[in-house]
Amino acid sequence: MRVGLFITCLVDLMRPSVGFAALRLLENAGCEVVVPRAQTCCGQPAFNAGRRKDAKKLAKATIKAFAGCEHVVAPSASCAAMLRVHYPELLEGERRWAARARDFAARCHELTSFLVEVRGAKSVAARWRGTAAYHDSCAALRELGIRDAPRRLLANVAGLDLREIGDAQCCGFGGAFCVKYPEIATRIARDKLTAAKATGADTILSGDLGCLLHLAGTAAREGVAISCRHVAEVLAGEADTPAIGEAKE
Amino acid sequence: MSARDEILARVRAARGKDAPAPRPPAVIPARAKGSERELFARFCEMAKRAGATLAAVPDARELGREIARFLGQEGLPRAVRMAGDPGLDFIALLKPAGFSVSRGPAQPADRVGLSRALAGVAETGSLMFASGPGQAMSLALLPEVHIAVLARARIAGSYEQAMAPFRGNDGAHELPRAVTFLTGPSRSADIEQKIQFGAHGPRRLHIVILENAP
Amino acid sequence: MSAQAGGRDFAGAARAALADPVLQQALANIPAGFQEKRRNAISRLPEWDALVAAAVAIKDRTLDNLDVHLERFEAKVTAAGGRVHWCRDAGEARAAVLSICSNAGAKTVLKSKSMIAEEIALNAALEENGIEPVETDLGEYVLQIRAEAPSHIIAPIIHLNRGQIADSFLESHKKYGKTERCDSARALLNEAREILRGKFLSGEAGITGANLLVSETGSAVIVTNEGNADLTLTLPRVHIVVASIEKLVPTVADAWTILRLLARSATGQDITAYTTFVGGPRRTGDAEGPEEFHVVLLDNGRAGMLASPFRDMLRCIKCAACMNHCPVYAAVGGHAYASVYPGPMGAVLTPWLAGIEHAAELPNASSFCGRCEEVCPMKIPIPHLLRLWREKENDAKLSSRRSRILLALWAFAARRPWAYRLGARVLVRGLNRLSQGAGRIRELPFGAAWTATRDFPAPEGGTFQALYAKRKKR
Repeated sequence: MRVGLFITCLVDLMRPSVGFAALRLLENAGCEVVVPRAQTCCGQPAFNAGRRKDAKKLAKATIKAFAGCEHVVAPSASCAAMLRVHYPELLEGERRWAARARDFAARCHELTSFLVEVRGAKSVAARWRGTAAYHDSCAALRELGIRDAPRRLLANVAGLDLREIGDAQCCGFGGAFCVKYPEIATRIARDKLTAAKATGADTILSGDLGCLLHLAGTAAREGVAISCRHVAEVLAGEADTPAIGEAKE
Repeated sequence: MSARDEILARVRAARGKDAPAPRPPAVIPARAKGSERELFARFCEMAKRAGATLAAVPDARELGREIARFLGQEGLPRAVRMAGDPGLDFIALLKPAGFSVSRGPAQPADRVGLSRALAGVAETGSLMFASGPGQAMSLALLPEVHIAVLARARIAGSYEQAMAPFRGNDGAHELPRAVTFLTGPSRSADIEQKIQFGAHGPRRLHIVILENAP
Repeated sequence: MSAQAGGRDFAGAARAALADPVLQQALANIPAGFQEKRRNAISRLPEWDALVAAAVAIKDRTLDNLDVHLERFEAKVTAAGGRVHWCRDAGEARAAVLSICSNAGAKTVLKSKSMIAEEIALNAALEENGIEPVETDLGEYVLQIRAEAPSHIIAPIIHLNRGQIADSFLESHKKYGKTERCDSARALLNEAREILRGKFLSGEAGITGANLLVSETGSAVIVTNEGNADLTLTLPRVHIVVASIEKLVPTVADAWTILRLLARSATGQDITAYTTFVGGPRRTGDAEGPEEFHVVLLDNGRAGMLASPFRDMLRCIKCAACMNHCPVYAAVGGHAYASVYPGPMGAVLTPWLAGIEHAAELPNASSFCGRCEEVCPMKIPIPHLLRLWREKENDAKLSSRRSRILLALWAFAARRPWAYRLGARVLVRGLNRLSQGAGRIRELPFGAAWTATRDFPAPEGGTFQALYAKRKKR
């Protein structure tokens, strides 16, 4: 199965180890993984800012870059939702792109949901000692309906004690929202960190790096003792990289 | 062009070319259906949930005794303002009464109002009242205590069923000026989001169900 | 607060709201209160999803034929002896109400809660014309004596605590001979009940809103928990309903479908304590009721909305579930939106009513978390509509110059992979240097929007693309 890895801007720039973890997980699941060099951004910042023309151009470029892939997998529900939910909507008015966008969208997935629902993975062979709370990003939960897949995979990670935050609440990132209204965004993050800590967890896991950067940054500034990691790192058993925002030892 | 013409023209201009969506089937919740016994039990359960108190009595004489007992229990004066509704005449005729009865819409000094519900709704323990000769909604609004008399035979499952008597031969409803559904006593949660009864309307609703209507 | 416009200095207002401990404590009631109660109510009604689907279909069908239903409604009201006043905008609606009151010689007017009355700034118009409006909803009464606007469309004083209400009563009720501060919620309620009782009995006209209008019967449907609307529409000589045109539904049965959703979505009750279908003045033989019945039917942009991409917003039944679940509303409360309609539904509706140039911040005050859409009983795609507003803002160049430049640069690079990869490597190297091995950056030059309130995690170093390319070469 030929899978194109959509690396996402945030993973590419901020935390490549997540990309390598995703690569490893996909290869271990029996996929032939390619990383098209022409990929850049899914266009969500432009789309959410109301810059429809730019978003359309980036959508077309992305679809072209991943031509020839049976599936396209992203370690981010937010980017996967852009590809899967919004690309068809963006391009439905264009005769030459409408069907192509729909076809492309159907082949795009968030990482954990791809592993569980398309590859039928029941577990990953990983060890990771710790108590973690899972934060469902809004895109995962409400745009893509992803809830079980990451939990199913995490349930079998030896040594991991997984807790439930149970609030289904936003973390406050929201892309440009968190820099437009930083006080509101930080306040929402603080509530999420408090709820996560209340479960007894010392780590927050999520499938979206945007959420994690925002939560880690807030935790560091406010002295909340909780680490943030991407779910792919734990599933790939990567215990040695420092958590997000923490220094190398 | 009048405002009416302009608004209607704007609305018409916006109408789509497609045929309108098909009429959806009515959705009546399961809790509005059941045997007479089930609906009676559900009515009582739901009414209590909504904060009303209930009593079921077999006949007019017991009804009179229940009203007297209730007034005594609540430390209320044994005086009730009742609507002119002929359907309540039997209460005024009770002897001995145990309480005095005056007829008409509520007056500011009345502490207890009594009216007859036209129907009960098992779905949510609601009572249906309507305006008309001898009907006074003020009895369910001004006094601090409202006693509602409901014939058991008038307990319907759903709101729609309760309103069915208002339907004409063509199926369309012809309503009195006002049809009001009461579910529990008046209340407000405006102060710190905690519910308190008796915000303008009665703080207490006591439903007396008459098993055998006279 | 202007009846039109909204979101003025939202960022500043939000900062003030976040720093207000009294407000924050009041807002803390929302999750355990509204959210949990709604969840419980829905869990006890297995037919919820079917009812939602039916309600959406009913509203869409009605909007497709709104002119037919408006005309049928008017015919029924007229046949019952009432009168419909068609009003294109807020000014005509105010004039209609004033003319009705003046013809009836009404100097004291009872009011039950109406968002349309807020939208058209009715109280100010009444007062300017020597008519005293008396708010009868407890929350609206408190706001009236405080000269404040509501902060929530169904729980108007959610932002106030008991102490603030007690202070206001102490001050305002001196004129009724009250000298003692109420020391409990019960005492406050009793005092309000006592004072308003006198007003109920002396009101000459009653103005209510309408939750729904039913074309089959020419009825307005009005729901309250207090019973104040029923007093308002029963005791005075004149009853005026102010309602916008999209409130129409075809039949009584349709009304019940929506009513089964309304209270559950709003307060988590199965149904409100008082639910009334009312139409026309008193009939011959009625023991009570007004002699005149008027419906002030307001367009104010709704007819135009029908043909617009924002049409779905016309399904809104004003239940407030969206703002009860919004993380932004929960953090800053309703007043920060500086709009008649706050929260998510306000962010969609206000730019239409006021023009996007007068409400430009509102569609941006959202993280697009999607909770609003998830809980909306009328399936309104709120984030999608907010994004549409952002497109209109972008086209009208209403967003800040700086953000437009930054986004243009980003788009430029993103469409040229070589520029993107180069820019990424430079940025990552620069950020890494700033972090000085600490794993995070405390202060980003030009990045105060992030680092004023949080640290910025340092990048790991190198980009994935560059590292992957290197790996492949080996």
